[in-house]
Amino acid sequence: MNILYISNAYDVRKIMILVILACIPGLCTEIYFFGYGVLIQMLLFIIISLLFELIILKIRRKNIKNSLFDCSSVLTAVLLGLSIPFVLPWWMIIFGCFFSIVISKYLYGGLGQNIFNPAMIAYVVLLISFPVHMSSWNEKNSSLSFYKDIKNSINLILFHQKKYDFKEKIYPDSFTEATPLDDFKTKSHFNYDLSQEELLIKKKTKNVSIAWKYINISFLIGGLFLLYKNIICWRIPLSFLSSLFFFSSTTYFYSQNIFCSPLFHLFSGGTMICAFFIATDPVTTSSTKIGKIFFGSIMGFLVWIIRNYSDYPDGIGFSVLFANMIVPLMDAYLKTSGYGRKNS
Amino acid sequence: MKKKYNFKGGIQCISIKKDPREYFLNYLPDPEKFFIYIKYSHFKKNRLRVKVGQEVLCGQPLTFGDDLIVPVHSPTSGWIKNIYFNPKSSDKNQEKIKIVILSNHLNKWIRLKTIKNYKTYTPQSLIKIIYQSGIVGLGGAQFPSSKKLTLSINKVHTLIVNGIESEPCMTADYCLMQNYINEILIGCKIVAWISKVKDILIVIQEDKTELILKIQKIIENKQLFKLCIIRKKYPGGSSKILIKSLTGKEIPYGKHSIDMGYLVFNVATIYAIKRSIINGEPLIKRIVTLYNKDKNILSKNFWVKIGTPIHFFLNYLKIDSNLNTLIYSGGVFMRYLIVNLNYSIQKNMNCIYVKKNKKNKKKIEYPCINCGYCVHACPVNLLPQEMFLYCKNSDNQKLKQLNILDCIECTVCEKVCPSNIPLVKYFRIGKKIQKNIDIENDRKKLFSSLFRKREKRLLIEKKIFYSKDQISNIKKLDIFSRTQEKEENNSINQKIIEKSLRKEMLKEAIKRAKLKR
Repeated sequence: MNILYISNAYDVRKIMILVILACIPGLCTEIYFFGYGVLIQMLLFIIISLLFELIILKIRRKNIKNSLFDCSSVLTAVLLGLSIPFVLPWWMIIFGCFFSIVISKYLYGGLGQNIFNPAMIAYVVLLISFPVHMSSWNEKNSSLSFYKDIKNSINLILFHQKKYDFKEKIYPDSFTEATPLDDFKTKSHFNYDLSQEELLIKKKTKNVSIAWKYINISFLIGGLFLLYKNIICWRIPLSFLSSLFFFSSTTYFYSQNIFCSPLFHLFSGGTMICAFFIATDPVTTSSTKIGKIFFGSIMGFLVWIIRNYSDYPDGIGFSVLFANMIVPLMDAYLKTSGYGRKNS
Repeated sequence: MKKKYNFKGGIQCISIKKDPREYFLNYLPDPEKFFIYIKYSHFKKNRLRVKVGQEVLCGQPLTFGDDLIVPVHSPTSGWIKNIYFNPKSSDKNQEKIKIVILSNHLNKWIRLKTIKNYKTYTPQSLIKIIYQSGIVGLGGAQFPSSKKLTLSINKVHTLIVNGIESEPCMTADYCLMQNYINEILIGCKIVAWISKVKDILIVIQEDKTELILKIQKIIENKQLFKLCIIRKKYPGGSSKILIKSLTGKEIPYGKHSIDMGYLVFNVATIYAIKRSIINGEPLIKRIVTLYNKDKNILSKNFWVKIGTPIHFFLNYLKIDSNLNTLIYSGGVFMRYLIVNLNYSIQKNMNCIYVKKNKKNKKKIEYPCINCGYCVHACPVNLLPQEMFLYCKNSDNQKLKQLNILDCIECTVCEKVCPSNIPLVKYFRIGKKIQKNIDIENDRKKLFSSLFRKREKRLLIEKKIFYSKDQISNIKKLDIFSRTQEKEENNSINQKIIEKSLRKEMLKEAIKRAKLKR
């Protein structure tokens, strides 16, 4: 807040806190569907990343009070915690925090200097190094319902003790623990007929897809709050969603068996959290108005390609990083003309 | 409802509720001493008309004018106590004269020459009257309006009367329009007659509804006048942005609004023009608003004579001028700190802004997070955050590519910035460096052209010298000279001539060396 007369005046810390607040509906739905493990993991992320930041600030001899409490590292931790499945052991969390805070943020020079999105760097590093853990999502009504207890989830995260209730039937899906996007991918690669067992799995995946729908809708609500508060620019989410919709709809009309529907693309995986929270990170996006539209549309195109043709189920992390790479080039070539330069 | 004009960028300010009592104009009594500051460039000294100890009447010109500077008049009757030369001038190019006048509180005027029917005079003579009564742009530019009018004759098709005060605390122009609307319309007619204008647009902000209704009633039957309503946004009063929001066109770089056919005048200047022509009064007083932030006294407006010292103005209103209070000239956005309270009120001062100095609340300056709020807010379509980056690293070539000289220093980007970076501070330094570089480049071009001319001249002299002296080589040179006549501009021939000349010179040198031995 600078002076009284401006209606929308923000501080850096205020912006970060408001974005964290806008994450709350998404967090609540994730807790509802996946249990308290999400919350515990997020708290661990926040504490560890703040510790890392404090150590680095001491080494670099910067003002600790100003840069520790600007909440930027808390925000990256929250976003990382929301985008990562909740069954990771503690040492993996430390690994992720090290990559997000130390390497992608402070080795480039602190807040405002990093080229890549710190949360997505950590996500991609974890995805490449531990692919099995990173693609294991669960839902509430599955056989692994004990995640809802706090004690069990703490045990799982800190000591990595997996106890299965073998009284219930074990379906093949409870081991692979697939997301709907993953399921779709396996189907498209191997054409097989549905047996009786697999019909049961299909029921379950339906439940999972419903859970993802609700999570995406809640993130959409948070994003609309941010748009109303004028914190993020509307250009990036709109261009991203519309380009994803456009490409997926063209392929869907081409053949409905091989490709998914555009609405499924929009409300599954991490589309909404990417559109409103991750892609709109101000530091790593281009600053011009046209550049923002380019940035969003490139990301939508990449997400569509990776989802349909690559081996990874969800391509949001890679697409964000790739778009971040192009940003300096866009900033160099897309410049606004000053006042009265167009005519002369 | 009428169409409301708008422009891209800028920030909306929350409107302050005001009592109608605040809009009455108050008068300030005369102080004992007046300080009048006169700027003049080093090369063109404008001569003083008065001496120390001489008696002066109200409205008597103190100086002769110049091409760039209009004459200055004495605000009271009294005698001149002292004249100081060059008191602590900040700029080296602009020296200052400070004239101290003691007033005798009588306010005797000099004989005023009134004109009843201005249409009997020619435009040139009217412009001369305006020049001699010392009128400059009262909006803040301080550009002599007589010069503006002479440029505008037969070039301009519309006159824009700028009644916008986008700064939230200023109400000086609004007061003037409330009280003297009829005189302003007469002034508009005078300007229209001088520069042969076909349309007159009066521009007002949307929140002043009473004034809009008042003017609409007066204007109804007159075809010349039109009323334009503009959205209440901050840098709407600047002439560049005004023209863009009214017409949708931008003034090309390096040109003035007159080249596009628009003549922009502030309301106060038009009032002053009317006063000078019909009543014969020179520009002596203006309306100044005082805004005291801490006591919540909303803006009050005063007729203040030019040259009244600021400490007298503050003492009269019982405002403490300690170290704890900061006093600015200008509004909330564009303001300059007044350090010397003996400094007097100038012709371009709209507002005086008083604020308490809070040392406890320090704003934390975060690093720039590239958020792009400044890009959205910038009214002249620039990229402030990139300009800040290059200003910090003093990369002058990149700054020129980003058109830093277009910045109008409206400080919108600074107020919007969430990291509390003083952006305009950096831009001012960057602009100064850019201007210096431009001047240097011009000099280099001039000197290089002169150098080339000198080389050509020397070559021709040598040619003549050798063609006269060397009898043996006349034949050869003749052939070349004939070819030169045929194709003067052919550069290949010139090269051949030069080569031959050099060969001859070498031969001569060898001969001389042999002779010496």
